[in-house]
Amino acid sequence: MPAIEVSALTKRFGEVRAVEDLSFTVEEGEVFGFLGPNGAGKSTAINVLLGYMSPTSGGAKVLGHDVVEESRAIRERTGVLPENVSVYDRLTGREHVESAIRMKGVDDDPQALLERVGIADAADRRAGGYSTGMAQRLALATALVGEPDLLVLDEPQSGLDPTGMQDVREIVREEVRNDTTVFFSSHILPEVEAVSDRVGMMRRGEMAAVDTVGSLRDRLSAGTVLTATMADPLPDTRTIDAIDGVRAVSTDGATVTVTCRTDRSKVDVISALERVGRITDFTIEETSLEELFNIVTGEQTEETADATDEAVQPATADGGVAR
Amino acid sequence: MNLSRVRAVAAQDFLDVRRARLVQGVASMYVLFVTAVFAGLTLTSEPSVPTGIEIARAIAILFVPLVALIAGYLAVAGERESGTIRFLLGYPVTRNEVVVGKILSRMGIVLLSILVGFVLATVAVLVEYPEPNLGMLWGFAALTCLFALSYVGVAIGISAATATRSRAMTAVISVYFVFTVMWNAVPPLVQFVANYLFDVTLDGTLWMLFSSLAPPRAFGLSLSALPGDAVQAPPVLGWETGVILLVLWAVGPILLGYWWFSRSDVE
Repeated sequence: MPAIEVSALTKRFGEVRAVEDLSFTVEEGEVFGFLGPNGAGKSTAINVLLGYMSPTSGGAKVLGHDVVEESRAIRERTGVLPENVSVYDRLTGREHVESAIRMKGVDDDPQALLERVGIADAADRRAGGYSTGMAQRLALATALVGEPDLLVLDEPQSGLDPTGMQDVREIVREEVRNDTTVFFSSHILPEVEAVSDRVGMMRRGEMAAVDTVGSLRDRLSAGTVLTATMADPLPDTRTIDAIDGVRAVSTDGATVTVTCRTDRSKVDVISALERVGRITDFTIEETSLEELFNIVTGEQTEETADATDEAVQPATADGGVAR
Repeated sequence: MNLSRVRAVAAQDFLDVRRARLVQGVASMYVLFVTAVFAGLTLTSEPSVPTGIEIARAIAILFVPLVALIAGYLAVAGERESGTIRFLLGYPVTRNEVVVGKILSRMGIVLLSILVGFVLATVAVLVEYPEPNLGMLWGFAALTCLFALSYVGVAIGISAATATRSRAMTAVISVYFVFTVMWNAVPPLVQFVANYLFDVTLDGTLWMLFSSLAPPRAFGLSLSALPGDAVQAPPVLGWETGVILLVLWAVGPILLGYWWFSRSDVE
């Protein structure tokens, strides 16, 4: 049984189509990264899955239960970390967790949960004084109450510093080892790339692509770009071209640029270059998911446009890379 | 509906709201008023429960609605405005459990402040009054509680039907003015308009019922149930009508508000 099964889900607000004919499946036990720029409809889709909103048409099943008719049964086995979480200012961290334990009717130890998310030392302070990152950690603690079968994390990185993000990743991995399915949305790509088995990319209310991170890269990208500076210009590049997994080779004076599709081919290219000449320096650049993301979603924000240029330029300057 | 989850919602809300400064302020002011009236009367030569009730009633009519509306109007709308509702609705609770939990908590906090006031008043009456008429005092306390609940019901109903603090506030302020402060002027105005524009004379039992519709009037009606003649019995409509109207105010708006809340999208 899939953990999440969305079929032809549509949600409109008046004339605005927030989600349009969305269908996808999340398998039990996997980490599914739900990607898309802000406004692509990720949050609306999550709102429907959790029963905050009802669908205009179509539907979805979560853990085998209908999202409209059996929302409570879903939330009994689901831990939710809401987007832009706001905590109860007048309750302490511990009271939040104790309350979550009562609401879910379980018997967890609040202290253990607070320690797990790293805010045990602030547990008895009112949450109104917490930083965004601490509030996020607190919300994660309440989501973990009752050992849920499904964790829904809506933009868990917003407001977290790098250590916080590291901790969230670690907790996601621990949960996956306990057979929890993790469904998390994000617009920060490296985060998704780091933990996801599969990703779904949303664009203007529709799912633009669903695949594993690896095969998305394979399908859409140039692969890994290896740039080597040789002591002398190479006479010819046929031996490199012949290596299994090499897609394109180009030279510019003493600089050789090779695009590799497999990890093994990178090693083969290095040793082949060593045989025909002497490498003085080399760099390896993975096509970032960021770039894929822009290709798929057709979005170019200023920030990501820069990143894309950097990633692409070394390969395309010579016109040697087929895209 | 699952009772332990209703309790969990109520417990969390009670913990939260009892720490709200505004609620603490208005609740303790009401305690002070009730206590002050009945304790203050001991300074007069012949303190009596009916005199105390007469004064306390005049204060209650303006003050109880204020306490109740302030205690209730953010019950749901406040959580929707701040976004904490996403926490609450992420738990395995249904929206009717949320509303019922809120009712318990908000009604609880209002009743608590009224009851503390009357317990202190009871002490004053027992110690200093020549005729400690406790039956009458507690009859009045019970009806004051019902009066308060009618307004908590209105406030929670409004709160469930609105998504923001400002809308909820606008609505409860309107209710306070129309049904509490200005109601004395409303029936004569309607009567005048009917008479002048449509040449209809409004009178009879139905018209009296309309005039008694506002909770303070209904409260006044209900007080004629008290033993003795602390409050004059009004003609035609009995005290039961007052009680029924107050119960309808306590329940009706909540049902409407819940119906609205149950079909709305929560952002």
